[in-house]
Amino acid sequence: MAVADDLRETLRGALDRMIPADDDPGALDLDCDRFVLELLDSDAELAAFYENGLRNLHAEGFDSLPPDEKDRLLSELESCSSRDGWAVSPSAFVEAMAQHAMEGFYTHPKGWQTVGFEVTL
Amino acid sequence: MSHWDVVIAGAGAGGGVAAYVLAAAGKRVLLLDRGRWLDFATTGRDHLRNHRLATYGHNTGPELVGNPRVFVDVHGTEHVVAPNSSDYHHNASAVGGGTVVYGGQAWRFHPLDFRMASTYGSPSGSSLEDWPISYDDLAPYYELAEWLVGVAGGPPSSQMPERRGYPMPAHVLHRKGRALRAAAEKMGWETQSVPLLMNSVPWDGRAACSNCQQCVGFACPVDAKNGTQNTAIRRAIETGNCRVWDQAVASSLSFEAGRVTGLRVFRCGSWHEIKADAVVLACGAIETARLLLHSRTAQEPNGVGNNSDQVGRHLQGHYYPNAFGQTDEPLWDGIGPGPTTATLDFNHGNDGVIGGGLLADDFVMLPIIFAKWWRPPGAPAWGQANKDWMREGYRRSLMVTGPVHEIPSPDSRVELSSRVTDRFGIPVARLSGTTHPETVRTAEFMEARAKDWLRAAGVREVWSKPQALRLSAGQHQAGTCRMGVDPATSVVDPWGRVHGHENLVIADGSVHVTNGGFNPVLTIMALAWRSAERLVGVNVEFSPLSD
Repeated sequence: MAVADDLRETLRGALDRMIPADDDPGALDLDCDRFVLELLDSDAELAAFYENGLRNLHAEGFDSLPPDEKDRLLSELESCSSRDGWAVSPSAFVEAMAQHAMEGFYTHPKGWQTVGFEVTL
Repeated sequence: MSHWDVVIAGAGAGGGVAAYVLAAAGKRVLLLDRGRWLDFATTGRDHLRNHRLATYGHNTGPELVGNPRVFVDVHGTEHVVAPNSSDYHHNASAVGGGTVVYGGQAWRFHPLDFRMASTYGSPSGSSLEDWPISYDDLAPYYELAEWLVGVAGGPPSSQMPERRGYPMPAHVLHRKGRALRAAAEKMGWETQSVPLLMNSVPWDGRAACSNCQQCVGFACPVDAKNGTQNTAIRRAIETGNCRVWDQAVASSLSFEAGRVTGLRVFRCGSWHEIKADAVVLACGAIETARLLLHSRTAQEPNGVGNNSDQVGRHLQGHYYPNAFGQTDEPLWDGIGPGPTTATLDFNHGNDGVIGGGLLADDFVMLPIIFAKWWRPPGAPAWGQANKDWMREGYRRSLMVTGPVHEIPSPDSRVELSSRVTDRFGIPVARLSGTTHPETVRTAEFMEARAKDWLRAAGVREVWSKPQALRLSAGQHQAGTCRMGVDPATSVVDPWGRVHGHENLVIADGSVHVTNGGFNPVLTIMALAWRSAERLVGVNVEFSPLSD
């Protein structure tokens, strides 16, 4: 698989912060993790990019942080174009996760419902 | 292989109309397209793979593998790009071409659009020139195209000449359109409805538009969108004189003693020499130029029609200065297709800039496009705040946009790549250069007018993407085989014939001298009709009432 087993939880945790659940569904409710994994299965370069980003996020202790601390760390990473130990740009990694979460979420009919996009035919 | 009266490469807007005119005139026509017959069932509604947003692919041809182009960025670096890259400057390949999935705005160019150089002067470094024909020359053919393919719309703005009404009334006016009309009136701006090549009522044996929300970029679920595949090409086939070969790739022209005798075509696993008395090229501004450049003879060693080094130059399309904002109350009513209200007050006569363009509302926006493109500067890109913005903002969004008449540059061009070939080993198109900087100034002027309109509609904060110098042929590619009377500065004559080749006609946006401040498809159709008529020497009329 494109993402090692021990990084699955990191991926899920990060996507959950990209589009958190509230009264409406969040990224994980609409299977955005599966969307990303399928994307990585078809793109080895992107898979390597994710692998490095997730590995570093995991190493920074992301998985066990409470939600607001996760957001704080992701915000900090978003502002760093490089960082010790990271082979990929942390800001590019956060941006990619945000884009892919949106792509999974807002192409899903239940994602459409959250913004009021209704399809009549 | 049998001999045809005319073989046409490219079954899009121009090729489709040319096929109808030639077949109706009694000619035996072979119409080729490298794409397939497509419809709603075969193209679907994938919001990430379509002609509005092609993040991971698109819903027509060509295939993502085996059909690259080379794009040269503003720093001079070459990139090999696939068809779904914005740098590919793609035009859908299918029977019907882009008209299968287009938005179908059916504008005539403004009379002054044909006279840009004499109206404004030609800025240094640009190739801004007048057309060798006028609006009046094209007007009868605009009308024929409006009735053959089928336009719905209302009366023209006072900026445009009088004309016959359209076959169908305008589409439903939605709440956003009403708000924009009221705002325009407040400012003293004139508006008109947006003419669309879509059925507003049942017409031509097909249904009326269902006002769905997934229109531009997709095929129509009720076949109410009038492309050439369900109008002109269908009627061409019905004459009994036209055969369509889909999935047929034309590589180059064939010659005998310098005279065009047909096309070399790959189909069903092998190459064919198609012989014809005349050849019509309608592959779009990029592929038509490529085909000419790839067709070489002793007399024209740098490509057919290219002894003056004009083929492939002046590549242009449209800048779109979008302005965006949010109203206090939601104006969403979910009524598609979306474009209802336009102003033509700024196509010409704007102080300090060359030309201008139309402004109008737009197609219903897909949520993922809203998420990707319309986040205001400084707004959070993810997290609860982003989700709140999406939820709160989508139904309150209002946008004004429109194509800017480009000031072309001779250095914006199509060449053959010297190092990259397609799946047949044929050199691919290499795209380089940008528009002329004056286009950016005009786009900035139009962006300011678009923002005025939104503010008048009660939008407090407006934003847009900054205009930058770039190649802009991704939407409405044109200009690479420009029309003119002088072979030293043009490729085709005023009847679309390649200079020096009376039996070789170009019938797509390539021949546009400039591309108008309007969506160009109706102009492509009208010119194709006019040039096809001239090729056979008879007038072809059309009236749906005679069916």
